Amino acid sequence: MMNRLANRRILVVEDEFLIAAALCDMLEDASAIVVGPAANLGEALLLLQEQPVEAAILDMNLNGQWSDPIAEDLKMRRIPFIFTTGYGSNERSDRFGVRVVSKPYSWEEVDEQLTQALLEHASQ
Amino acid sequence: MAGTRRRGETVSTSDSLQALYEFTDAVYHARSVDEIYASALDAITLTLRCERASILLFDDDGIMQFVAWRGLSDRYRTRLAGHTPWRPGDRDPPPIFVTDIRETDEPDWIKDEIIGEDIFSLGFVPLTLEGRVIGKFMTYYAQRQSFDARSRSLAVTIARQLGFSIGRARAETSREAALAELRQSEARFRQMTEEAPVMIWMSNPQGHCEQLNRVARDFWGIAEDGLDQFDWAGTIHPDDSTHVLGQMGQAIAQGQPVTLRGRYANRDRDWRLLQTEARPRYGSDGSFLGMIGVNVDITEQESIARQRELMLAELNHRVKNTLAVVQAIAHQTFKADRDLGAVSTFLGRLRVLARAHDILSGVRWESTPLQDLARAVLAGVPSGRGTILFDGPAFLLPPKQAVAIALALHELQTNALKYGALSVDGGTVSVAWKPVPTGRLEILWQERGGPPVAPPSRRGFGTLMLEQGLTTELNGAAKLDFQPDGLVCRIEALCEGLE
Repeated sequence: MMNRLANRRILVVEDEFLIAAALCDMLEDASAIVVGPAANLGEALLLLQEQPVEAAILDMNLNGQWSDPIAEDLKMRRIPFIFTTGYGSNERSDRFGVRVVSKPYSWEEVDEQLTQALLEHASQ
Repeated sequence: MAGTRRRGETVSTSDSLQALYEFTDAVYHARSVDEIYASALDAITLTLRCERASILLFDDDGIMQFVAWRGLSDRYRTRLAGHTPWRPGDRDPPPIFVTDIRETDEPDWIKDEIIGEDIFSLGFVPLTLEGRVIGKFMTYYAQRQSFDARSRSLAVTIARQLGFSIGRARAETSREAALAELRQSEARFRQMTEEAPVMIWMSNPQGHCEQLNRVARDFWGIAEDGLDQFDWAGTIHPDDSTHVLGQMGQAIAQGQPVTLRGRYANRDRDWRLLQTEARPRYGSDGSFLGMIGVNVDITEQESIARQRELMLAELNHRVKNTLAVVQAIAHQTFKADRDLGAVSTFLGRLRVLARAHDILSGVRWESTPLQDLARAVLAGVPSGRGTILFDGPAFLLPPKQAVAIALALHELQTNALKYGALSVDGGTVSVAWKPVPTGRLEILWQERGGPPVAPPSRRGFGTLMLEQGLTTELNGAAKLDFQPDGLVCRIEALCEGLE
């Protein structure tokens, strides 16, 4: 399968530094261009305002705050994204109609779900 | 009564009848036994022409005791109490009339007492109730007295009236005692209901509230006489109104008990969550009278339960986040060594731990259905790499066993993906489990259709995990059998399925 993430600008929103760093590594290994990582709502919204973004990986909960405003913004900008979460519930992914990967996740899972999100977006 | 008078008698027949009539009338209106005794003594002294008379009754110990008298000394009453020709319960004995006390067989000391009281003749007339002796009345004469048939029948008539009146008075007394007891027990019961620390209510067949105990009235701020205007349905939270009224309406329509929850505005307009248990109540003729129920305020309990849920969810989240951080650290740490095979094995195991944790938190760390656990752990076989078939009855695992079995199944799957039936298209793995007697669980992992199998040259962590981990964690055993046409692993765990 060809690497659909190569040269894509991917926004990473993750409040846990180590997880963010690992995720960025994996994205860069896949030749993607990392935007961020953003650790809170403000940073993420600002990055979305200032930089071109083609897809996003969004932690559902940032330091106790739901990341809904970012999800709304991504929806409005028609940018495909996936949720990552340590919570069991899928209520938010259902609400926003996006894919979710549960922490701790493997790179393969993130890669697969993000690629699917991009494919679906392209076919719309 | 006129015309029956007989000349020559000191007291005429008509006077006797008049006295009897007055006696009958008096006892009918008497308000106490003392009034009955007084009227009886009047009638006795008048009709039987004596100045002295007495009434005696058996007491609870069967001793004949003076209860009323006229013209008797204290000494006489003290000495002669208990003296009687009859025993309690004797059947309808005839009266005894003694014309001369000296001619009787009574002991001398009794004769002396009687003579000492200036008594020459005397009459013993039994008082009976339902044909049984309960006492007697006595007449005393200083002069010799002969008792003719008329005075005997007058005496018996008075005795019958008197016995009957005493019986009626006793029945009245015991009826009043029973009533008082009933009133007392009603008051006790009312107090119990009234002061019970839960809300108790009764409704009519239409569901309108007919009675509320104190706690319930206090909850809604209703006065004791304000029930007519009280509309409990109007206090239900708008969001709960439909289901509360619906369920209650159905219970009333079908005459069924019901348990329901809903929020109600209390007297301070605060919403309180009440749990209601209600049952239909029926009259003695079987007709439906309405519902009777208790309400318990479970607002605090609910909020504690909700907080516990939130804390559990938060804890699960943090544990999973921590596992994700461990994963990230491993990724960063091993990156320099480029030993990515080991990293991915490690990360795989970590993910299985997280997945088992996920399932366990979903069941609040109580018990895990084995089939759910197996499916979750063994999910994610890439397409074109064989299939896994599950077969086994519903079986609930305790948390510790669940984690151990999850890790074991993961090792088997990892091995199968690398070397076994899941490394090629068309291979199959059958995962079958069954509880066996003596509280053991047997899981059989069977691979088919993979490449030819050879026993591994070295024992890795997977084998270790299987053969030793399971042994200690499960009090069980795992036996790996590298058969040429596929690996067979039999896991046996000492593990009672939970109810």
